[in-house]
Amino acid sequence: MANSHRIEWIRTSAPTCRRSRLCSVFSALILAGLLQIMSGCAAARLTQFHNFAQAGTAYTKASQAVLDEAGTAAIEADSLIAQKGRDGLRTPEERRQYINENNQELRKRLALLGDIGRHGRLLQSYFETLAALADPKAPATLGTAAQGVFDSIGGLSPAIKNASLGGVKIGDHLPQATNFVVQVFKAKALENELKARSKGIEREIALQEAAFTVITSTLETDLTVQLQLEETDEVIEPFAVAKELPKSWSARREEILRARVAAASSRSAQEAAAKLRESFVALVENRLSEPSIAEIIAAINSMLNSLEAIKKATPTQ
Amino acid sequence: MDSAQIYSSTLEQLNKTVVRLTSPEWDAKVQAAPPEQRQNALAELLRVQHARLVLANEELQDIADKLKANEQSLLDGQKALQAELDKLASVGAVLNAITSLVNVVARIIPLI
Repeated sequence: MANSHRIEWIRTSAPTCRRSRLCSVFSALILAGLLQIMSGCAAARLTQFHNFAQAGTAYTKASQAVLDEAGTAAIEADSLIAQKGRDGLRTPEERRQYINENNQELRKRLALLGDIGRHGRLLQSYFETLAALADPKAPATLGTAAQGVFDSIGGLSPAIKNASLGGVKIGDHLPQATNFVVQVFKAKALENELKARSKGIEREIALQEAAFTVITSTLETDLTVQLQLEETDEVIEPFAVAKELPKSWSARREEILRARVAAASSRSAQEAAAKLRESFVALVENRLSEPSIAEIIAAINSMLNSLEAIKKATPTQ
Repeated sequence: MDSAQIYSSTLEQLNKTVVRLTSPEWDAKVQAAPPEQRQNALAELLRVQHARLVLANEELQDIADKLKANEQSLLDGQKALQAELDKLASVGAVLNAITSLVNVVARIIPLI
């Protein structure tokens, strides 16, 4: 009873911010699309860097939604298990100790997810600085700004690389470094910046890719646990013992079953990071094409679609 | 097997176990079991979830030696538990296999 009350309460309070976040991601995608159309004009280089920065912004926003989902799914799964298993602990002292220790472990996980989110947002700032540097009229101070952002990114990455999540060390999943040569650009400040830091940035995007490989696997387990417990409580048990089935029973059953499929196919975040990294290398080599940007956008859309399906079926979040 | 592989396979087994212990199939089995066994099943569900949270947050280098020292017990425990989870023949047998593995994990990381 308490559980279903909580579900209703969150149902009415949560969707607004979720929708607005996704709306802003979609707006970013539309903007990225418009910028693609502009790429046929004379300022092709400037457009390429702007397109990439826009794709990076869309990636960061969508990946932040995945990180939020990973944190929420971990907490929800643990809460549902704690509720289900509470009677397995015989004394208030045992229950207090259990919930305190699990809270502590969940806080550690949230801190790591927060670091990965900050790392992504700093990369976004770096891409925006690069886009500004592509303008021949860019002020000289932008190079210093780029270095500052890069230093901040580098400050976060060792903690992420060494962290484990779901039994897998993120650093062990780093894809191999790509060999590439920085092309000659008319905007010298841009060329200097790319020569100085593009290889380091490629490794930082690779770190995002590795982090999402690990996060996705943990997210799948947490979502499966959550959906299975919801299936038992909201679909199987009412069907087995309720005098009358709630009117929403069949719709809820469909949502949960469909979300089980979405949970198993939520690997698009790592794919989006991989496409972003490939496109960054293409950008630096001055061969970034519209189809490459379209591929990032497709991967981001796929990420958002999976999240929507999962969120629809897990309103307790 | 190196300690990273032992670590990953142990955690993967705990993940698979928590997924099985929250499945509708397991729930049906437990509901049909005697009260004492039902109570144990709930307690083991909490232990597995706690173990998977704690182990997932551990830094490998801090527990590498202990993992290596308990390698055989961990691998045997994982194999026996997976066999019971696949069969899902009796609640008691699954619970015994879980207890054996989680007790070995508790030698490596402090569990409640």
